[in-house]
Amino acid sequence: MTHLTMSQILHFVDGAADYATQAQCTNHLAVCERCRKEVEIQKNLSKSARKNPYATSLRFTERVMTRVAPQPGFSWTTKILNNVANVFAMMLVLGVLGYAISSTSSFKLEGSPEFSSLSKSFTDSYTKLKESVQQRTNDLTVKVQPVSSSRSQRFVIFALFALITLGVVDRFLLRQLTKTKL
Amino acid sequence: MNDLDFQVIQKVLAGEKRAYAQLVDRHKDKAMALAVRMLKNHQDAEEALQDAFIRAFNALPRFEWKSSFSTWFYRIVYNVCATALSKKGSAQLLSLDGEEGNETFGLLSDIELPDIEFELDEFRQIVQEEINKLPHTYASVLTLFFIQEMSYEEIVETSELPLGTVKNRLFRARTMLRDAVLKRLIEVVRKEKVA
Ligand SMILES: [Zn+2]
Repeated sequence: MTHLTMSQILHFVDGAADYATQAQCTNHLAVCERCRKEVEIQKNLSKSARKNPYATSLRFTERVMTRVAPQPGFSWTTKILNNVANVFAMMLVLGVLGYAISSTSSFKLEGSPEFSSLSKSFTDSYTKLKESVQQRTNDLTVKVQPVSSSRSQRFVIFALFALITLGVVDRFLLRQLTKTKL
Repeated sequence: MNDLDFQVIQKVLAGEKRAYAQLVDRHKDKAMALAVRMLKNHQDAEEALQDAFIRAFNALPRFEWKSSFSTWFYRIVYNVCATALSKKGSAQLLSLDGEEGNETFGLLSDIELPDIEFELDEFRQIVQEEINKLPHTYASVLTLFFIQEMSYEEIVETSELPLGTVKNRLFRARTMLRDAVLKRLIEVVRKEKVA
């Protein structure tokens, strides 16, 4: 028996055989187990060869895009200018809040006894915290500069606190923004 | 022609450059298969691919829609990889190709074939491994045919090889792959019998 050639089998498997070849293959395959086996092998080889096991690494698209269409980067001056407004706003808010909390006079609120006791315990704990912070600041600053008034100490603490908070919030927001843009 | 590609390209050409990311996402993984199988190295392949995407972006205004974007793009990938290969000194894109064989089955055909469980992951694994072992001249044509699902004519356009060479290489690649995979399978069966 003359078996099918490999080309005939491949054309048959690909569905690319002309009508005559197609008929010839079908007729032969009906009676030849060996060629049937070969067709089976080729079909399965094709099926497996069609699977793509490759993928680019995670940030591939991002890397290409930064090369072809870089995001308009903020210059340092615009960054600082943008942040100055934030710094002042935040400092103002924190300053007012801090002043309100630290000056006990503004806590003379008439209200329910629960509220008074709550506010009293809050004020007490704040005072304790303030004292310990002041103590630590004194320990630290006494070596650097002469003892300053408690007002300016408070200001320094608030300013530092405001700046740190601001930095954290700003970084977080910037990250979220850049994430959503990509 | 791929309508989605067409729309994205129109956007990019109209100035919406960031839309190009969609094209990159759509084609990167399949293109990666071609690059890895030509360069035989994941890192080199990714670098070549990045280069190809950047070149394609810059050449996009000159793209004339004579072919699909993917055929045009894969020509760039193919060329970038071929250049990388020639820099490495391993360019053998013009190998000695004989006539398309009309031979019947190879040597292995007379060996009693084991009953193969083609559904096994092991079989797929073996096929992938053996494709990777093929010389890049064969692996590239095979990949364009199976992964990029290109016709002979599209492979000709991509590789700029003559039609006869493409047909011949694909035929050889498939017979080489068959023989290599069957050899491995027979080996597996032999080991199982011993164990
Ligand atoms: Zn037969």
